[in-house]
Amino acid sequence: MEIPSSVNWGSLEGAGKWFNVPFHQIDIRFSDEEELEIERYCQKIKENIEKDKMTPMERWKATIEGQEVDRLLVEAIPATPYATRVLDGFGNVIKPIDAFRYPKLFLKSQLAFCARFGTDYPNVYSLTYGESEWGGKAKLLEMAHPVLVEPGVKTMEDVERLKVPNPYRDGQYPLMLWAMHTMKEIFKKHGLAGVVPVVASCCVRGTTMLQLSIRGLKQGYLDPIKNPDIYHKLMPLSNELAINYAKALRDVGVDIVWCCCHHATHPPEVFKEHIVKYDAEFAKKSGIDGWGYAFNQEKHVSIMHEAGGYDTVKYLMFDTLTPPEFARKFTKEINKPYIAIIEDKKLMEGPSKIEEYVKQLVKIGTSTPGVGFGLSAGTIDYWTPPECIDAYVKYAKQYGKLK
Amino acid sequence: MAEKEALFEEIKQALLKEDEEPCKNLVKKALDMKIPASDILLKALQPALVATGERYEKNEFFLTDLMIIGDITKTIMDILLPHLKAEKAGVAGKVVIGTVEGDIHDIGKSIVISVLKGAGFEVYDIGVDQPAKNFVQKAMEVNADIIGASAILGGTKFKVKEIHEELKRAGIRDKVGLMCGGWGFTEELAREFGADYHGEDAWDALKKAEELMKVLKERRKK
Repeated sequence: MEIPSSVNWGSLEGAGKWFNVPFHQIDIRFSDEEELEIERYCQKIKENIEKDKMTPMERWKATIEGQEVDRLLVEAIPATPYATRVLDGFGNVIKPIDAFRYPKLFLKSQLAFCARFGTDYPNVYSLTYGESEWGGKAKLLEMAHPVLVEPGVKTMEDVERLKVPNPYRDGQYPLMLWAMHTMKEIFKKHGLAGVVPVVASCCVRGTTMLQLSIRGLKQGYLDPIKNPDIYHKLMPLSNELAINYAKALRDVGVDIVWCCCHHATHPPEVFKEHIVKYDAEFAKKSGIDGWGYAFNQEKHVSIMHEAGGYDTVKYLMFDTLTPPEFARKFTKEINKPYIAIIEDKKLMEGPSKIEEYVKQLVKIGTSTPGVGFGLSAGTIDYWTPPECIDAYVKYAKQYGKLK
Repeated sequence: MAEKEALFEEIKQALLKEDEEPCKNLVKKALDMKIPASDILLKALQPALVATGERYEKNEFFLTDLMIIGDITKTIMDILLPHLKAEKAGVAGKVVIGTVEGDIHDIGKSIVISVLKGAGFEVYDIGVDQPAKNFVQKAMEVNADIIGASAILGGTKFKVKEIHEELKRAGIRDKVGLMCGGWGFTEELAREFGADYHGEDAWDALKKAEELMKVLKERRKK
């Protein structure tokens, strides 16, 4: 195994054998049985979409263009921990850590989720919540995303020594690229390429990467306020990896790249003074298609808009912590489609509440003809009963039927 | 009297402005004026923490505000604690708190600790990534009323159930309340995992901890 030379060498406890193997050296083959399993997932995905007038790709494009659709986009973001539950029929036998160590499981779990629940396309969430590529100690957890245990960057001297990791070569990134590239190849083989888009998030990025992987969660959040010198020295490095990673996802075959964003963790004035320029720069240089928002963004999106952070993106996703009426009004003003995310807590409230939420969101979201709207769910908590996801997909398709 | 009230208001405002040094100095000034630490806690710190929660709800405060105010509160409590002990001020309850095994988040936990301490609870923080037995051992060691378990990441929430089982094995489940919190938890899930209550946020956690103390007192009378 080639050890990357430029990485600020940290450690990932519990890493699998493909960790730190460069993308072009990952040689993973499927057995005959696995080929069959994958074929079955693809068959099911085809069955799920064949009754619709539009293909998911056509629906996606029409939504982005603000044109008429047969029904609303219905997507979901399971994240790896939930997707793995589908692989063993919700037996809670295969653990999330298995998918983080074995890319085939990671890939199959995403296909299985899409096939099982009938969402429009697989939407693959970030592979990591913490990584060692910035010199820290990270750990693979049995039941969740990897996390940073001990940050590697504590002083300005540490910052000066940092090198920017390469997503094609370092850490878990090549695994994610392999999985997305392979998904596209599978779609090509089974007639789904161009019909069902391959969608992935390039989270973790920019400021978030700083918090989760470079400085640690708390310190990373506080840096713009407490240590602006370190923050501003780190952000260009953090952004460089994030931009390269988003581009790499695109290059290996991802059709739609989006990114999650947490502007509203900071007061608007801090966001404006310290953070927004990096987020806006990231959007422009990475070529991402969309931003996905958590937290209430009412006071932050106009700042982002003024900084040009939406100039190049095609759509915005908001969970309902941002009031949907506000999200719709704002996206209409800037003429971008709005994808409303029903977040994990709401999904766990059960089918009847989910029906209410879907109806409300469809009413609000479709109130502006000519500016696209779609529905999403996630990221889905590990303990969400599958009947809740079934209910979400059923009601989203039912109430989202527009013609 | 008016001077005291004005000082309480100044402490509250300094905390809300996230001004650590002025806040510390005002608290020291109040102590120098022989104002009981319990009064500072109840009439300055608690109202400030309630106002913090309200401002967060209204989208006037953000996550980093909660983190900074939480840190300042911890510092203030370190100043007040010896005085509270000397005053033999009643303790609202003893809480052992930690993040469950497999999870390392501690921002929410830190905020909960500050709010609980600010309300007069004695809080023992056992840290992150803690197995169930550590929660229970610490609870037995300090004779805790409540165990608070934080769990955010994916599947780690079921570790709350392990704490519940460990408490049962130790024979103290009826004596020690169990609360949990963390993004993604619902009341239903909390109950499924054996918790008595679930705190939606730090202020809800305080409300539930106070309720739980009443329940425990009733249980102990029987």
